[in-house]
Amino acid sequence: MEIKVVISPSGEVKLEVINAIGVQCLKATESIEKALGIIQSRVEKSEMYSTAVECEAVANGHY
Amino acid sequence: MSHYTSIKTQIKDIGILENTCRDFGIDSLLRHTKARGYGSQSIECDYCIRWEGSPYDVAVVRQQDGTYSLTGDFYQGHIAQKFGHPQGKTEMELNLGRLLQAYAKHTVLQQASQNNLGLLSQENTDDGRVILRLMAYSS
Repeated sequence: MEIKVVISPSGEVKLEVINAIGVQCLKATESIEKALGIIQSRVEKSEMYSTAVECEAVANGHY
Repeated sequence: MSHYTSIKTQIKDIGILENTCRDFGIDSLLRHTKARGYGSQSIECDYCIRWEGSPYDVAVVRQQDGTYSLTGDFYQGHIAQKFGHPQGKTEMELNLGRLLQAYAKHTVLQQASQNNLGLLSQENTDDGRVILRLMAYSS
């Protein structure tokens, strides 16, 4: 699994998780997101989940 | 599989902010002092970022939600010269952009190291962004 982090001149951060398995993608970025601040958006690619419902529940619980 | 998250960075950790300031040649944040501005004006603050050669400081002020705001007297460009991002668009970016960007980078790298993620590469793009690539160590 790889995470691409893009930091703008305002300090805004975009995280892109590549090649993760199941909920691993959310767990991987959760602590980084919490440490940074406010999540403005999260977009999940449709091909990513065989366990989509489970991942969605985790995402909702995050807010 | 992948997902994308966009996060607005907040200053939450004074220790990380202090580490970030070291990148700019500032050893420590000052406490129990006011941040200086134009003339005899000053700003009440919880921490003060002061550096040699500047008559103005950056004030770090704790907010009700526990995060910290950064502010200062941007007149005459003393703060922008130290911390401003030349490719910034907003007043904050033009005056404090490099500090905000570096704080975000320090925060990401600290969390990466705590979560078994290693830094593969770092790139500074022509349009002023910093791109980090992290990879999970196999367990």
